[in-house]
Amino acid sequence: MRAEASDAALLAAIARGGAGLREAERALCRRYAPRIRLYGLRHLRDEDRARDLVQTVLLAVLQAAREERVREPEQLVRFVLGTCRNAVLRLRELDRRAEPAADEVLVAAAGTETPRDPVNAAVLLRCLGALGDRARRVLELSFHEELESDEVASRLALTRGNVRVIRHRALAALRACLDAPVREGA
Amino acid sequence: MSCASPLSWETLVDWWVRDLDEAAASSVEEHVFGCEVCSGVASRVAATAEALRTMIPPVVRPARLEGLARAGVRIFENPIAPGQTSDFHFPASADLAVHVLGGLALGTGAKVEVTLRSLASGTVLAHVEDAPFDARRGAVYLACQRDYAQLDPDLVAEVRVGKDPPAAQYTILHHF
Repeated sequence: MRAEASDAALLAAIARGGAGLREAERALCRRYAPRIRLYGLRHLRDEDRARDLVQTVLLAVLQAAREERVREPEQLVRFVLGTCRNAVLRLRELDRRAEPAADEVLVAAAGTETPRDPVNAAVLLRCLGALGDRARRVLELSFHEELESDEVASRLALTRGNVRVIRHRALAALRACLDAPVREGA
Repeated sequence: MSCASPLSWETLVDWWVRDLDEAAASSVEEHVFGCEVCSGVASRVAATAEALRTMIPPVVRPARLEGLARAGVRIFENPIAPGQTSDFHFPASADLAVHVLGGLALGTGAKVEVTLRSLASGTVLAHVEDAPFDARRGAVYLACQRDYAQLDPDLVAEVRVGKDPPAAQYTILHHF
């Protein structure tokens, strides 16, 4: 199975079973695991819970694919997103970790490693130090204290619009700094 | 891999910090989920935001330290008095070291400023206005991580309480 196979082709291969089953399942997991993790991080704000969500959702999607329950293969994106939404709602209702099903084959296929985006603490500190005081403060209040824009604006005597612009630019500058190769002697 | 109508960095930042109304957020979410290009950019926004959200700041709140300890992080405390030079070896058994900058008269509403400088160059490594502190112990907690081995190893921490008094100085010589 080529990496660029369409969703519909992957679903068909999974439904057929046989020799191509595992490879198709892996390809589907590789494609969707990062997006599910992103969804989980945004809604759950916890890396471990986001990873649990990846497994839970992929297990459900693979099970549905095997049983040919994805009615519109070209709409797999919507199916996966809908499964994410339901799983997060369930997680919130239960307020506990979801427990993946005990199908070892599915667990193995769904266990796709997604990157953890590790950031070196010293580099982060250096990059934050390169920002202006106001930009750094907006980031601190937005991300450490998780205040909403109105609250950040009130604390810093800014308008909400100012806060958003400062945050956009500061986050972009921080990303660029984190991505920059370390200068010799820096 | 291409996208006919890529979402801007600004939109994705607003989406990540939940600064969009529900309809707009839902629309962005659906686009990101189905688009490899925008999903990639959104991942960069997320990685940057998460790095900030989960970072242990250089001057750390007592409650955060308690939370880290509860989560199993092995924390080593290094108490230092004002004017003292601490020759500090990062313990192999610790995940995080905390320099306890003590000997401070700290009322509950005290205004505390902390400046960290390189001892060699005088460069300011970090400056924290309105720094958190532990009034009960009369101390400010300075978090020290193994990754900091990449920074200048020897630093001076200046802690100013209020406006008038001179800053208390603590010199720390790190060995990682």
